[in-house]
Amino acid sequence: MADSIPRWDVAKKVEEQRLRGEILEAAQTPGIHDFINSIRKSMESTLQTSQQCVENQVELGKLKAKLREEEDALVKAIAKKTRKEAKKMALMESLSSSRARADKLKRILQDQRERKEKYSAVIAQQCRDLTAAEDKNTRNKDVGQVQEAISWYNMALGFRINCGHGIKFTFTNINPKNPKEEFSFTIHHSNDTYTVLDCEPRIYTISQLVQELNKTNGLFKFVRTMRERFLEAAASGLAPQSAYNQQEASVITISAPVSLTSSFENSESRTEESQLGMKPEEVKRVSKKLHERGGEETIFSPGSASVPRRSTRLMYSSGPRT
Amino acid sequence: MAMLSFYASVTNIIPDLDDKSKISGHIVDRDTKAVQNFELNPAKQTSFDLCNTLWKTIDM
Repeated sequence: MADSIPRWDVAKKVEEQRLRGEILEAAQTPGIHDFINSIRKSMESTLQTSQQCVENQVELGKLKAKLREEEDALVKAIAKKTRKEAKKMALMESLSSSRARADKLKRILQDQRERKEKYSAVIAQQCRDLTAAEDKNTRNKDVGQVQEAISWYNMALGFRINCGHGIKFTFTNINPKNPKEEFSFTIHHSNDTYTVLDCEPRIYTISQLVQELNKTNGLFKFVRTMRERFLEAAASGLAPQSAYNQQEASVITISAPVSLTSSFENSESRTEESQLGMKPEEVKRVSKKLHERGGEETIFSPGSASVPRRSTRLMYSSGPRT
Repeated sequence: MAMLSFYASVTNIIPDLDDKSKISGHIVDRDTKAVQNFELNPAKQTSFDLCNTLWKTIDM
């Protein structure tokens, strides 16, 4: 308003000066009446213009004030917008960062998953290897224990079993003069029948023992019995030493009466027949064999003179010499 | 395993493998279900005598 007043005053003064100028010109011009009317119209027009100007001035003030208010509002709005823009930028940046982080985590997850699968495979393989190793260890342990036990039988009992075509049983600690000497026999089983494939040294009653085995099916007992037979065979192998000390007794026995010999011969024949169930001609062959072995029997008989059977054989064997 | 069973059946002996300094274990009679402990000292007899003593015990 302070600015408006000087401007208004200046305009007013200018207008007044212009009016005075017009009045002066009008006064000097012919046609005074027309001139006065013209002046009156001009003054009315001027007044109207002046009033209009004043009104406009007031209106202008109001508009200026409103403009200032609007400018303030605009500034605030711009500031607000700026803040929102900034916030938006921040949010976008945050979103972008989050998205990037999500992608990163996704990749990490994928990597972890792949590693997990790889490790699972490794662990599975390790489990398989461990299981195999444990099985092997257990098997070895069992085999070791079994072997240890078998070694015990071998050492403590001088007894060994081997499987091949048939089963071979081997004994040591039979001959006291040579404990390491091996006595063995091999037995074969097929068609529900046992047969002896080999026997070292030879046991003359083995066929009888095998018959018994096939009747009773007592293989374990048979093996133990064979060991006893080997012991007897080894013991009889010692007889030659004692035989030399009783050579005269042997000679005396040879001079027995013939009739006595014949009597024992008949007895022996009946014994053989009843034991073996042989036919008469077979009995003769057996008797013949006894004759052939007479010399050998003579050597052994002194050591077992108390055995009736062997005495009988002695009498029997003296036949040819008579 | 079958072989070990064979040894045990023929001899009727189940050895004790824990004490190496002795020969000991059980003699089992399958028929009568009898169980007898045995313990032999290797320091007092020859392996020959130990062996045959054991076999005689088996055949009781």
